[in-house]
Amino acid sequence: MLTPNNNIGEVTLIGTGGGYGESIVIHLGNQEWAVIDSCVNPNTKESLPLEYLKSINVDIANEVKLILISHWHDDHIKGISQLYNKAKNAELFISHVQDRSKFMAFVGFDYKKIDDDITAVSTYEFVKCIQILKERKPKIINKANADKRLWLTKITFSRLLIFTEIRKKN
Amino acid sequence: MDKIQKIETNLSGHWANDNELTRSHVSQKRNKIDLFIESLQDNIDTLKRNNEISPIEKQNLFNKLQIDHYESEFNIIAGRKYSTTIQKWIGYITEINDETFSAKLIDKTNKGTNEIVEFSKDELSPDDLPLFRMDAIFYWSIGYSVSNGQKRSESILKFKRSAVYEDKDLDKGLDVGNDIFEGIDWED
Repeated sequence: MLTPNNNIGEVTLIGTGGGYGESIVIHLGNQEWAVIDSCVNPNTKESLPLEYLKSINVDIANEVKLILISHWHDDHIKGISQLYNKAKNAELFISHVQDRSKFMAFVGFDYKKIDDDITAVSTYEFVKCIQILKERKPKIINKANADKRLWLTKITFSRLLIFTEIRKKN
Repeated sequence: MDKIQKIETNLSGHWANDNELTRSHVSQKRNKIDLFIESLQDNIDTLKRNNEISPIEKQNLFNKLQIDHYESEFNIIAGRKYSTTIQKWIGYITEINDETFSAKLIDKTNKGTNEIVEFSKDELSPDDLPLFRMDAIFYWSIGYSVSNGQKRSESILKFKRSAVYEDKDLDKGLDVGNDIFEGIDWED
């Protein structure tokens, strides 16, 4: 299977109904890709959106433009650090954090328990992403809000907009 | 802006459709449905052949049909093991003796006066022993479980597991959090 043409938008839902978790892979046009959340193949433990992008020969390092972590549950975050590690030019988005200092403290408390092997997978995946981000420039955690434009790309005849809530443009 | 054209796609040949995980999920579901329909037909044939069958026997046949051959996504109908709680309490230990301990209990099922009850230490589960001490909080429930159609009385004592943080743990957690996010900018 080949990647979609530059002027074709494609939305692939992964994991729905299979009980593996959920992820959405979006071709934004112009061989630019966005991934929302991740889940893993229970047999290979590989991130399923990563498997999909590899299977259609996407240049993951350069063509995955944004990765969005919608929330903290294991079935939406497992494997996301694998994907982010390969997507070397992707921007990282997370949902709005109400109280940053408390959030950081929470992550710290939970990650501290990793020595006892009882930390949550979600915390491990998230911290792994932050560690990868620290090796990159700019070291910024982007915020994903409803109705906020996350990415803009121009294609030959149309312009495709992506929002955290996809709505028809009037 | 030009109108975005919606294209009807055929999933044949798509990674998701051809994926082993998708195929196994679909085939498992199809097998279950086939078995269910087959079983349904067998039982209808049995009923047709024997008009003298009693209502109880009809019900038994129907129950068997559901349990043996239909398994829902959430395993509700197929479940043959379940527990029912009749009464539950929350209590804390007030006295520890050689072979017994006493506790003050609050009845969570029937609101009323508090009770003092003496338990044998034999009631304690091995994993709860590290939590067993004066003032420890526990939950006690009585009821019954049903397994393969057999009913069995149950009394369950379970000690409350709370995270115990000391000041140094809180400091360490804050330090770890600060280290993780050090040098990271947040979009406002």
